[in-house]
Order: sequence, then C-alpha cells, then structure tokens
Amino acid sequence: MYENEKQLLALNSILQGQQEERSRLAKDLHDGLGGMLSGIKLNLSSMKGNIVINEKDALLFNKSLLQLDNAIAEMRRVAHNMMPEALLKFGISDAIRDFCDGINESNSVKMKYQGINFTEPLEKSTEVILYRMVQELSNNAIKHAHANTIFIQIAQHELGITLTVEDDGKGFNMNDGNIKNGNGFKNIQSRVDYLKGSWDIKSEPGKGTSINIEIPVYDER
Amino acid sequence: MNDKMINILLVDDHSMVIEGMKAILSNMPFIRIAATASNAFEALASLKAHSIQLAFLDINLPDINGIELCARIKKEFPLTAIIGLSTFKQRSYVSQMINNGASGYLVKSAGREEIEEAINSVLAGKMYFGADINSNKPETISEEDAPTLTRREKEILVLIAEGMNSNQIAEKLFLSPYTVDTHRKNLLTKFNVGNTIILIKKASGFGFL
Repeated sequence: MYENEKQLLALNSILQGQQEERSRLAKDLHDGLGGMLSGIKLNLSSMKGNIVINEKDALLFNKSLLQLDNAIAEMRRVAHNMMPEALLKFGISDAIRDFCDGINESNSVKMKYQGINFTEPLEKSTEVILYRMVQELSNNAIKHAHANTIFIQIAQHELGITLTVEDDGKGFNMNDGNIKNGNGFKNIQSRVDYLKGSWDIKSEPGKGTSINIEIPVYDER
Repeated sequence: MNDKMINILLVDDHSMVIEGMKAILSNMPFIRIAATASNAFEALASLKAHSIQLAFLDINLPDINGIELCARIKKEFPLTAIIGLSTFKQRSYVSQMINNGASGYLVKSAGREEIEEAINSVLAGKMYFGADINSNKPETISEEDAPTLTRREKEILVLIAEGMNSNQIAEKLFLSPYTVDTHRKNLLTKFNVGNTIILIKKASGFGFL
C-alpha cells in the first residue's frame, strides 16, 4: 500500500471516530440533559399561578423560569453545533435549511438556500463535511466580510456535487496572500482535498465573494 | 363518566417530562390522562386499550422514532389527533411530523399557556405550531418570484442568450463542456422551463438579461 493511501485511511478513521463521538455526545446532551431540564420547566410551569407567594418571590420565580429557558436554549445550541441531528436523520438539504433558519432568526443577515436535483442521498461522512464547509464559509462571510445576504446552493449532477456559497460582503483582493492563506480558507482546502474535489474563489473589494466547490461522487459499487 | 372528558395519551421516554406534563394537564378540568407510554410499543398497546382523542408524541423514542410512530398511529387510529413533542424546534422536524399527519407541534420547554392553547386549537380541528415556530414560516417560492442565481449561472445565462453553445461557453470560461451543460440544466430547473428559448424569454422578463 502506498504511504499516502495509508495516511488517507488513517485520516478517514479519525474523522469517522470523531463523527461518531460527536453524535453520541450531542444525543446524550439532548436526550439526557434536555429531557431533565424540560421536565423541570414543565413542573415549575404547572405551579405558576397555583400557589400564593409574595410579589418579590413571584418576580424571582419568573426570573428563574426565564433563566431555565436560557439554559435549555444554550444546551440545544451546544448539542446542535456538535452534530445537527437533522443532518443524520434527514440529510444535508434539511440540515442546511435549518442552519439558515437559525441565522435568519438571530442575525440581521439574510440566508437563502437552494438545493437542486437531490435524487440520491450522499455518503453520511460526505454530508457532514459539506455541512461543516457551509458553516465555515457562512461564518466567514458574516464575521469577516460583514455580508447582508448569503446564498447557498447545492446541486447534484451525474458526476458529483457542486456547492456554491456567495455573499454580498466587502470582498477582498485576490492577490492578498494573508486572506487566501488564512486559517478559514486552509480549513476549506483540507476538507476539499479530503473529498478529492476542487474549488475556486472569486472576489473583488466591494463586490462580495463567490466560492464554488466541486466534489466528485465516486461510485464504489 | 363525563363524556365531555378528553382522553389523552402521553408518549415520552423521560419520566421527568411525563411527570411535568401530568402536573400541567391536571390543572385542566376537561382532560383525563388515560395512559402514558415510554416507547412506541407501549404507545400502540395503549391506543388499542383506550379510546384516545389526543396523543402527545416525543420525537425521540428508544424503539422507533416519533415521526414514524406518528404515521403508524394515523394509519391505525385515524381519529386520534397528534401533537409532536420535542426538544427541537427545527423546521425539518416540524414538517416531517406534519407530513405524517400530526396536527400540532410543541417544544418541551413550552409553558402552561402554550400547552393549553395547543390542546384547544387541535381539539377544535385547527393546526398548532407553537409561538416560536409560527414566527418563522417556511418561505414559499412562488412561480412569480425570480429565482436566485449564482454569479457563474448569470454569466452562462448571458452567453446562452448571445447564442453560444456549450462548447463555446466552456472555452470562453475555461470550464469543461460537462460543467457548462450542468449549469444549463440547473438554469432550466430554477426557471422551471423546458428549453433554452423559453429560458431566455423568462429570464429577460425577470430582468436578468
């Protein structure tokens, strides 16, 4: 076996192990802790209005209920970032739609998603990597490019998958080595390499950024 | 027995959630908790044993998940209304439950008022999706809306309109003819048209050309 093939195999099993571990942790958080916190919330909520307490205590009670809500929301956020359950259950298209919903709710950024021709489900590990790239590129566009609108498109075709992420942010000079060699793009590069794909960036100061990623889907049957 | 009482089934594998729901529902005079179940198998048995008007279904159950269970209940007990119950509020979960026949959806962190509202609307034959779920309605893409195009698609659209074929476009943009063809097909899908001539017509109607 060639040396780099061995390396790829090792990398593959690391990624696989990481993915399984993350899924398990996320599930434990959600099902275990999540169930308990929800139970407490329901119990407290049923007490509300049924007991006579003074005004000060009532305020404190309501404040505690609110804090409990925040704790549940935080737990959900952590579990979701670890491994979005929708990704494992329903696949990449639904997971990205949820991801966009989440950002549309909490930020001033407008996210749009379009999936084209999803006829057959992809390999789970490929879906997880694609999802991570969408997350990373969207976060870059929000944090660094201060984009107002982000458009994500995933199209399936006979030879593979095309992922496009476009924003209307401040863009950058393509000759600026600092950005192209920055950590954000290096992460993308290694993920694209891992999937044996190719990618290209188009950007211009003031004109936003467009990133196109091609992933071949190898038929191993 | 008062026949106005509503028989309810609670399905959740967390005893704390069951206890909490019981505590809340016990404040509602017209509700009777006929049975509780901690998995799908028990749930189906309870549905056979009692006549249940409304079932609260957890999405995550140890044997089969709530989404599948929902479809099975609607098939075997079509008169039982179902409200999905989950820690999640993502659209994917809501829509899967609704597709399988649920009448409503609640997050487990819902308060008493919300739970009462959900029960009342579902029993009145309406759908209920909870306050925070209603607020982010799925975007409906109507026929009349212009599709969103990527930069590359816009480029290719313009060249198609100029009368170039896939090979010519490929050469000009340094792409493979296969890639250009894929973009062309995607454009047809996005504009919901069957051929290039109607594509150009529709695209110029939207102001892309």
